[in-house]
Order: sequence, then C-alpha cells, then structure tokens
Amino acid sequence: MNKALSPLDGRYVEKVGELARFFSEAGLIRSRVGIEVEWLIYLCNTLKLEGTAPLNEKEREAFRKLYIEFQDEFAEEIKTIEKTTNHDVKAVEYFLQKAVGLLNRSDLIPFIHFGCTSEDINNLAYAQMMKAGIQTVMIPNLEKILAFIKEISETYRKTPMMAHTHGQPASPTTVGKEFKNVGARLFRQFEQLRKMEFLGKMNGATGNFNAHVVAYPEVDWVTASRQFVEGLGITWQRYTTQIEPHDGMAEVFDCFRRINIIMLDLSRDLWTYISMGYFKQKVLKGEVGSSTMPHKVNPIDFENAEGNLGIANALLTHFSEKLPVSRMQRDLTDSTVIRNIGTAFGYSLLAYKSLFKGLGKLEVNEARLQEDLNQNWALLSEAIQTVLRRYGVQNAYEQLKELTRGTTVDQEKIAAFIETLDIPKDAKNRLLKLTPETYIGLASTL
Amino acid sequence: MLTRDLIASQILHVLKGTNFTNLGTRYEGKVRDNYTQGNRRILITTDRLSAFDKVIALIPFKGEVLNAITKFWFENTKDICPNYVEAYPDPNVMVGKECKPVMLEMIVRGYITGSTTTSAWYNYEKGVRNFCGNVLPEGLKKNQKLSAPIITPTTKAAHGDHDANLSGLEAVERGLVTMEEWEQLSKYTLALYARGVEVAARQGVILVDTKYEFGRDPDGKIMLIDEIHTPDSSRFWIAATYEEKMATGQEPDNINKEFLRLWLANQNYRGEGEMPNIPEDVIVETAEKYIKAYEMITGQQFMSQPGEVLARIETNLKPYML
Repeated sequence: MNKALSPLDGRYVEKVGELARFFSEAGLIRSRVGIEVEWLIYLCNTLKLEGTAPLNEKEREAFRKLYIEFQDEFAEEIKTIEKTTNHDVKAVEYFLQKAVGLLNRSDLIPFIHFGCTSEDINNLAYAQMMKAGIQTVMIPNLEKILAFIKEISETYRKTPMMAHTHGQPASPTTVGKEFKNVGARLFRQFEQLRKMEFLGKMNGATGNFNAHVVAYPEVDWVTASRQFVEGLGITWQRYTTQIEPHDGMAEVFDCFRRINIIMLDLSRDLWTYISMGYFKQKVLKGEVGSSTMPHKVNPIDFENAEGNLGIANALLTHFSEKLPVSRMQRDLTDSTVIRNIGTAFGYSLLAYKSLFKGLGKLEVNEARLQEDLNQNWALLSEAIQTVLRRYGVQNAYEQLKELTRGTTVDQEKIAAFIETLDIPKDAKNRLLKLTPETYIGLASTL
Repeated sequence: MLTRDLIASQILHVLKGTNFTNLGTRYEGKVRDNYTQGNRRILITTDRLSAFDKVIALIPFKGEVLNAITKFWFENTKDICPNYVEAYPDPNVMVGKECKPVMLEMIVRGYITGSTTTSAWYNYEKGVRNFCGNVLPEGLKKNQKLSAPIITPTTKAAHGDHDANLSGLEAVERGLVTMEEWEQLSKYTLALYARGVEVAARQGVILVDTKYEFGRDPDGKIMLIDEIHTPDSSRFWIAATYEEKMATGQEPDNINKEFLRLWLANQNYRGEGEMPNIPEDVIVETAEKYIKAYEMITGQQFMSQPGEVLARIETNLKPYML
C-alpha cells in the first residue's frame, strides 16, 4: 500500500477500494470474459447458429462461473497469455479456448469471439463496468449526501442566518434554506444521472456486420446484435464505426462533472461558514487538528473534498473531450485513456466520503448566528426602502443609503428612523416589529 | 363497507406511531414501526400515508387495511413460498422472523404497461426488445397481456425510490445474489404471481404486476418478507372493463392508491413548501379508497372494531413485552 503510485490505491484504498472490483485491470478482464461467454451462449443457444450445438444447463453454468466467480488466477493466466500475444482481448479468447476444451466442448472453439472485433468486446465490457460501478457504488454514496442535506435543511428550516453576497452582509436567510438550495441543485443532477444510458455496439470490424453476413447471410444480424446488447442491460447502438463513439460515456462524465462542481461549491461554502464561526465541528476523539496548534479543529474534510473534486473533474473533462474523438474509423488514443476512468470515479468517491464525514461533524452555532444578525440592523434597510416605495415615497433608496452607509446602525436608530416616516400606521408597526432575525422572507417555507 | 360517519369518527383514534419502550429496538420506517428482539421482529403498520418522500397524512383504518391485505396474501401463499410472519396478534401488527434482506427486488409483470423510465412499456416504446433479460416480440400494444409473465428485478435503493433495472445475470454478476439464489427467487416469484393472478381473478381483479422482497431467516432459509400484493406494491386493474378499454384505446380501470397525492397535486402541491390543509372529507374518502381496495382485492368484507387503536395494540402485544 505504501508503495502504490496513486493515493487511491495506497493511502485511500480503504475508502475507494470497492471501486476496484469494477474498474481495475482484473475488473476489466472479468468483464471481457463475461461478454465473450455471453456472446458464445447467445450464438449457440438463442441464435442457434448453424454449426453450433447448444450448451446445456450445466455447461452454461460452468461457463458463466468463469466471470461470475472470477478468480485472481484467471486474471494472472490471461496476463501471461497476453505477454505472448501482445494483445489483451486476444488473450481472453485464448483463455476461453482452453476453458471450453476443459469442458469437452472444443467444437465451440471457432465460435468464441465469432465475428467480433476487439472493440465489440471492449465497449460492452466498459459499458457494463461503468453501469455497475455507478449504480452499486457511486449513486448510493451520492444519495447518502443528499439525504443528509435534506435532513439538515429540515432541522434548521427556521434557524435565521445573515446571508452574504460579495462577502458582505445581505438580507437574512435560514440555515435550512441554504442547504435546500444545494439539495435542489443536486437533486436535479441526480435525476439526470439516473436517466443516463450506457451505450454499446456489437457489429464487427467497421460497424457493418461484413464478416457476419458473408458467413451467415441468412441470419438477421441487426436484430441479433440488438437483442444481445440489450440483454446485457446496455442501450444498443445501430450506427457506429469500429468503435462505440463514447458520446454516451461523455454524457455520464459531464453529469458527474456538474455534480462535482456543486459538491465543490458546497465544500467551499461550508469551509467559509466554519471560518466565520457559523458552524462548529464536533471533535472526534483522538483526532489532531494541527500538528503545532492544539486548539485547532481544521475543516479538513471539506478541504480534502475540494482537492479531490478538482482532480476528478480535471480527469472527467479530459475524458469527455478526448474519448469521442477518434481519427476516421478509429485510432488507439481512446484505448489508453479509457483505462483511467475508474480513477476519476475514485477521486470523486473519495471526495463524497470526505464531504459526508464533514457534514456529519457540523454543528450550527446559533449564538454566533444571532450575534451577526443583532449587529447588523442595517439589514433592514432593504425592507424599509421597499415599503417606502410601496407608499410612493420618492427617494426611498437614497434616504436609507444616507442612514446606513458608513455608520453603525442599531435597533434604536432604525426605530427612530421608522417613526419619522410618512407611511400608514399598520405598515409602520410592521416595520417596527421587524428584526434581522425575523426578516427572513419565505426562507422557512420555500 | 364502513359508513363515512364511522370512518370520520375514527379520525380521533388514528395511529400516528408507537413508542413502546419495552418491545425491543425501535426502528421507524415510512409507514411501519419496527421493533427487533433478537431473531424476532414486531411490525406495527401505522395509519401514516407517505408521499413526496414524507408523511403527508394520517388515514383512519389504513394501517389495519394494509396489514389485513398482507395477511390475506401471506395466508394464501404460504404453501408455495414460506413467509416471515409467525403471528398476527393485532389487526395492525405482524410478528415475524428477523430476516436479512436479499439486495434485489423481484418485479414480475404479466402485462406491458407503465410510464416511468423503469417501466416495461416505456422501454418497449423506445425500441428495447430485450428488457432485463426478457426477449419481447414485435407488435405489442400498451397494456397488452404478455404471453408469459416476465421477471424484471431492480436494485434495492438505500435512499428514496430510485431503484434501477437490471437483468438477473447482471444481479448475479454484481454479486447481489448467487446463481442458485436467483433461480430460487425466480421460481418463487413466478409461483407467487400465478397464485396472485388466480385469487384476484375470482374477484374480477387483474393483478397486473407486483414486487416481492425476500430475505434469509436466521437459519439461512429464503422467505418472503415485507408486504405482498398490496396496492402499494402492485398494480391492479378491473377485469370486467379491460377488454373494452383495450379495444377503444383507453387506459384500463384500476384500483387507485394515488387518491390523496392526486388531490394534493390538484391543489398545486408537489412536495415543496407548506402543505395545504387536508379537509376531513378528503381524509375520509382516502380511507374509503383503501377499504374498498381491500374488499376488491380479497373479496372479503372489511371488518373493524372502531375505537382506540394504540391501547388495543398495547393490550394485544403484552405477551411480547420484554
């Protein structure tokens, strides 16, 4: 672990290691084996291609075990074969040739990888890895954050807080409402994420079923291709070059990028509110804040999240700009880049976990919130000038500007000012009753 | 059917929740209060109605109705699949074995319908011909009966209702279930659905599709858990008008569980902001819908002893108090 090149596989492996099942080299090999196995079963049992004999239930089970119960040794063996073939997908094919031999089904050998270009296997393998990794690991972690944010926004729905625009005091809001803003943004992105489709193709070397049709002109290969791809839980692509164009992947990456940007915005805001004392952080026993200043409780979780979200988004941006571009039918630039997709999910996941941990430590410092509100009676100037406008007072804004800029305004001064106003009595009373704490508009009910 | 007056008078006694301190470790679900005592779980179905991810109202008799529907079906299916219930000590209460849930929801569909992105019809209309591992023929019409029921499992979402479709093979591949478990679950699912269709048909009701959840009991045996063939977990159509509605291109008549949600939507409430006040007659009508659903699905008359619910439960649960 200490010798791992990337911190994801070293320092942070406990936090993000669950993604390795999907996105590691072994995960990729496993996924490729799965596609090859299912394609063979499809050809023999569903399509019943002339010249093939179907696999019986026992054979199917044994064959499927090759990927469902994928062993580390399988990956080792395939890597060893790759050293000779210098081709990773071909190595899987040879591995399977040996496997069918062991099952006494050498008759199947010609139909392993039948009609396929490597990309037919790869694109489906990657689509499955992404789908499974996102659905089983990423989405549940995202939902945890959203659920927590919902809970906080409900708990502090009515807790007034001075807002800040440009870093300066602004019309009050509530703590809950500020979280609600973030929750709404995340919710919108999650809705899009859930609708993401994982695209795939199975149509031969240049996307035209050339070899398939020459060998079996009587078969409806387009329908077969669709049925097979959809059966894997992947959205079928009819029109492709040699490669699946990766536009669907780019959509997923961009969606994560937007999610990450919202998470980053949230991390920075929380960092800032903590530095202003609006939130305290519960101290975890044994945790050290600063190596030299014992009193400190640093907002490290939010800083960790911010840093890792940055790395994740740099990668995601590159993926979604790089992967859809390939010279003519294809070049190999995608193949080396796509191997890194797990890294982007890894840095994202690391950030989500830090953020979640940080959220769990937050404690609203109501005394501090009140203090700021009480010291900023000038916040009511917006309220007063808007009421003045309602009653047709000409220079409302200027009057308030005069009163509030540059000097400290307190309750007395505001009250005295309100008394001088030429507005109906009930409006005046409403204004006199208003405090920075109650001037929260609809924040608690929105 | 209970009279509206009687239902209205029960509003006073709705079961909002329970807080027994000597019944075990308490866990509050959306609708049920659960108490765990080692290998035993006590499930109290309250009158809470949840929508928009929160409790929006308390509906008299709702807990009792849902509990009764589930009891009816558990009793009517235990010969084909064991379920986790050991006793029904009170109209609102089930006592069952504490089971470890299987991380897969088994959805079975006899008809091609639905409008959400995970529904069979939505996907079919988009051109999908292999839905969750089931090959679908060309030329199907919306709401048409399938030649054989299909199983379309979904992942169990930890938060919210955002399950995702997948095929049985995908579930096995992700390690959510083993191959053997998948086969066993599929067998149970099809058998339970067939029984549900048969029993509902006697009442002139079509069990269109439904969802089952399974778990393993402390001995590792697979059992049916949660609820079964309730309006919350299933879609029901009225058989008498189905053919006619299909012929004229209309949506089939259904047993509607969305009454209150639709009422709120009509008041422009969709889960955000202050909820409008729900008048008593709307509450009563919602209760009537639930009671009617019970009677239509089970073919039995809903019998209830109106009055104090919480006290009754407490008395009936005495033997289980620690």
